[in-house]
Amino acid sequence: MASWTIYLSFIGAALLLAVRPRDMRWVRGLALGTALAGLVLGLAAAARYPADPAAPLIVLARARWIPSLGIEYYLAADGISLTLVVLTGIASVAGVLFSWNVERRAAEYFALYLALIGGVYGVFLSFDWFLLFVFYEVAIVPKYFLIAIWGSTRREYGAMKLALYSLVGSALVLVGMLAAYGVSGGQTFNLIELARGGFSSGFQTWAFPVVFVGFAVLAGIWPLHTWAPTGHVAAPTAASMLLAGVVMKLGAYGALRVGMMLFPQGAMVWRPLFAGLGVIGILYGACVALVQRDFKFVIGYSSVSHMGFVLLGLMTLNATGVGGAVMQMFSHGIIAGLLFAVVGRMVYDRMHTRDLADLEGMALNRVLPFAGLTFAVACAASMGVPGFSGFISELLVVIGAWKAFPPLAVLAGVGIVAGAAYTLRVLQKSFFGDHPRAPVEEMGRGQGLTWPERAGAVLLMAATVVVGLYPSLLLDIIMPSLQASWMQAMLKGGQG
Amino acid sequence: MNAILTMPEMAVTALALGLLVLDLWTPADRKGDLGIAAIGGLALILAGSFLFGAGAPQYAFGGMYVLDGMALFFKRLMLGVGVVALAAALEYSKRFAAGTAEYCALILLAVSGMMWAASANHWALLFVSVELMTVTFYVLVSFERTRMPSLEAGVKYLILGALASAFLVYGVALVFGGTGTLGFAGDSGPGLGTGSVLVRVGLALVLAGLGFKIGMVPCQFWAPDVYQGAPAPTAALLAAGSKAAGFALLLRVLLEAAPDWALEMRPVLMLIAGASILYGNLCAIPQRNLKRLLGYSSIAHAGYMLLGIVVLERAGAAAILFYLAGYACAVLAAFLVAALAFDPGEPEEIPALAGLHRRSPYLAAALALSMISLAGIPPLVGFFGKFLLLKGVVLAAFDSRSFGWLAGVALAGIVTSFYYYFGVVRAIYWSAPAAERPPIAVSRVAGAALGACLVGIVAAGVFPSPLLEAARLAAGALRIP
Amino acid sequence: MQDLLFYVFAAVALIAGFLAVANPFSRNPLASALFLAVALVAVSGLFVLLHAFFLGAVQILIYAGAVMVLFLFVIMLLDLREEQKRRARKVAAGLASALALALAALISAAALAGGGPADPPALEGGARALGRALFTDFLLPFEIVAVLLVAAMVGVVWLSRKEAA
Repeated sequence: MASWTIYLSFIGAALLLAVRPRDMRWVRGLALGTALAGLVLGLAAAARYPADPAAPLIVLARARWIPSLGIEYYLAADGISLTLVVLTGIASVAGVLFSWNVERRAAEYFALYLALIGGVYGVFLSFDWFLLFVFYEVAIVPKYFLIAIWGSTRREYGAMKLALYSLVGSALVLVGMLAAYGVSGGQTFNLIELARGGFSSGFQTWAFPVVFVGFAVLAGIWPLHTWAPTGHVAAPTAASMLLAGVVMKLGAYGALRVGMMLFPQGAMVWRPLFAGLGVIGILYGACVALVQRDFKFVIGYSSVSHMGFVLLGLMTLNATGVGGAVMQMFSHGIIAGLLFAVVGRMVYDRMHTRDLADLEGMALNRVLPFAGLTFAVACAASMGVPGFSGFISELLVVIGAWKAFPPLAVLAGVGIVAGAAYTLRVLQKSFFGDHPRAPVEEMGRGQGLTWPERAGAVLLMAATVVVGLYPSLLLDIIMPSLQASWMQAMLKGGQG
Repeated sequence: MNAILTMPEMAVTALALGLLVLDLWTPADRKGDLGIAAIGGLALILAGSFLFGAGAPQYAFGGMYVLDGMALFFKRLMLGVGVVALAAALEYSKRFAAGTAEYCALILLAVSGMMWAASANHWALLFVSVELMTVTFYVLVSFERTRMPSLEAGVKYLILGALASAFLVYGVALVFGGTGTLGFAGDSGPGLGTGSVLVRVGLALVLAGLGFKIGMVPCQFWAPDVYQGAPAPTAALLAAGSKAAGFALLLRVLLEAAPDWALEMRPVLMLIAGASILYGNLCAIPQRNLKRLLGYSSIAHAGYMLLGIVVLERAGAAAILFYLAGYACAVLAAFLVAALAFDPGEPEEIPALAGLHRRSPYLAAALALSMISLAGIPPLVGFFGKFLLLKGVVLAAFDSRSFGWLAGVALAGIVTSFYYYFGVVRAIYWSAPAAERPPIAVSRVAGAALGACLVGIVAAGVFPSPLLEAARLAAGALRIP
Repeated sequence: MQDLLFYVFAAVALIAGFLAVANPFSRNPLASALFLAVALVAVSGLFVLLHAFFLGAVQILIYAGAVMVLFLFVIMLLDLREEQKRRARKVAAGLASALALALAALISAAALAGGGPADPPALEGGARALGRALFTDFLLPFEIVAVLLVAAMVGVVWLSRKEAA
């Protein structure tokens, strides 16, 4: 059933383009309905997982697609994919809610939005490398147009930069894919069969960095992260929510599912480097976020920093760290969605400025109290306050890293502190400025939050709190899938 | 005598001549019907070509003419291209005031030339078929004789085309001098073997002559100017048909007639492929004219397709066939839109496409799809073609490091091309038009032809298997390892 | 004797061909056309040496005769004094000459290296032999050339006809 998340999204997109309803209510309704259906399907699939601990993979669809090359249409899900499918569902519903005020060419906007979602679901559910690559590429086009048409600051630059970075990354992935296909005998692109077949360590040593970097570009790996802040800032609110919340996870997921699963020995060889890059990303993102004047850039760089935790967690190559990385993907997806929603939709659309110095004089906590609450919750979650999802995931990553590379774990701990610093700074400057320049009543006139905004914010806050209070909801489906035979080769290396 | 094998070509020629004769009795206001008749006739021939099965190669005219799987594949491709080009011509020829029948007849003759080329198994037939195409294109390019750019493009094509023909015929003469036979291989004589110096130099000249047809570096100088100046349907036929015919001949000559020489020349061919990719893509970036941009990009696409030749194996040839079919769909759609979306006499500037999505959502979507397919984004056909070509090169890189470089160059080219293809899409969908322009009415014929291209782009991208199998079957006819 | 004649004809063809393209003494198109005629006649001599009598005759009749007359007509009808004044661009000319020289060197090297078939076919080129070859072995290319001529004719008629008022 979960495969219908993909089909429904594309059907919704096609319907919107074909019918182009004149009535805005129909457009929004269709988009929201499609996104909700995806969320429900994803939740239902996740709730039933794992039906049988001995079979950690649920096959959703399997058919021969291009038989002469051994390419299959192979959709399946394990706990990691399902976690991210649920994340995509939540983020997409929230994204529609926060796009309620898009008036200009709304049908096309939502169509591209749903197409992007469909591509993302497709990546998370593909277990054939070729199919995964196709979905990965399919997502590039709508991403580009969402930013380039509906974006704001330097949108064409941001859109093109993002697209070119993604394409360079996918070119690397393509090379790795073809090479792996050739080396394995040219019979299959099936990820599990490729992982079972194994590759010589010499091949893994050069194939791993190619594939890993190819995917990690989209995960914002330092120093290839520069597309992320510009892209996030240029994108319209819902697109930056998806970009930071879900699209960056595509890269991390690909790096895990393909790079690490197929080339465990290569990962073992290269992990000091990439773990180091992850930590640099954490610290660098935090430091740059600390000095930004633009509200949205702060959030953009915080994404780089948080994604550094994901990379570090992946490179620990032990169950704790990798499980933590997957948790962090989920957690950051939700939190980044919240942060961007507050910045882009709640604040910018009303105040028309993102300059922290200006916002300081607006006393937003009194003008937009609900937004203030949302942002406070988001910041708390982002800092890793216990009780929110960010705490448990970053904790797992640091524990995992402590087992693998103690010095890096310490540095990552420093990163958490720096994260608290910039988060508190931005929270204080944006919402709790002390010196309102104008009476609060005047600024607040007609500025109340609409119900879709409240609904979207509540949904995201609920997600982070529920997972934060009861993390085994997710851990119970992530951890069993790490026990699968094809993941074990990867985890063997990190026990020491 | 197996003359019956040549039925498709004969039928196309007869159709062209019939059209010219009927034109004499057709009143001026009914000329459009002649075009419809030509389209119908060509479609009928296309359908009829499926009566031939792709079994063992069959020969006619003393082995001069071969009908094998590959020839059949190319013929169907060219007939399809011809149908769409005719539809475009019918639409476009409203601008000429007269000459619909002549234009259509010349297109048919060019198509017949391409079809002969697909079956050429003999240097004489090769040369004559190339000349039939080239001479017809001289006229087709300069057909809009009241428009200066068209005439200029015609003159350019004439001069450089004549030069290329000279290379070709000189090369054929040297090869003949070296071997004493004009046949390629098969029934009429042995393959060329490594051959003497005479033969090698001759083959190099032949390569230059055919390189002109496909528009590879260093024989590419005509492409941008001619694509820009020529009437859009002519440019469509040049890009989709003439290039395909060039590749048909190149495959026959390099892989079948002279495989040893091709192996010897592999480094040079790789250099040419890489240079074509880089040159085409880099020069396309600053272009403002849609047709000129397609001209440069056609050089890059020729380079991509050469990747299928340098690996020197069947899979590469199959990839070329697949790619050609996909490229034809995309580029035909693009030129069809170029024929419809601009006013007569208006240069095809990309900024003038602004607001196209309001003037005609259909045309806008078609052009966007075609650009995305040319850029090689899945799930459209262009992606899978590039995938197949790159597969061959990456796999070959395990044996020889230089293929790794070539793959890198190709990937860099593909990433670069995204920039300018999306520039076009960007202009369509979000540039603000300078002035409000009236909606575009798309005639039923043109709409149907465009629809056929779009179906090809999408269907062969999502379900590549049938086309891929056809291409593999066709490439299976080549006598190479 | 045959060899001597070959060298004479070949030298005349080369020199006249060169003068037709780049005459250092005169930039008059008329002179170029006449040198072209000389070159064509010399080539027909080469045909005769190869026993291609029919081709030799046709070469003189058609090229040196009919085509040249057309050329001369066009030159005289059009005012080509502009052409005379135009200077060739030095760089382009140099580049073209270099390419031409390289090509000539390549081809001569190939020719000198030899390597033709051991038993060259007997030379016969009378009208009968040629006709038989054209209508048996080369029937298909011959017919295609006929179609090509039709295409060329249609094109010429279209391109040169007067604009309908």
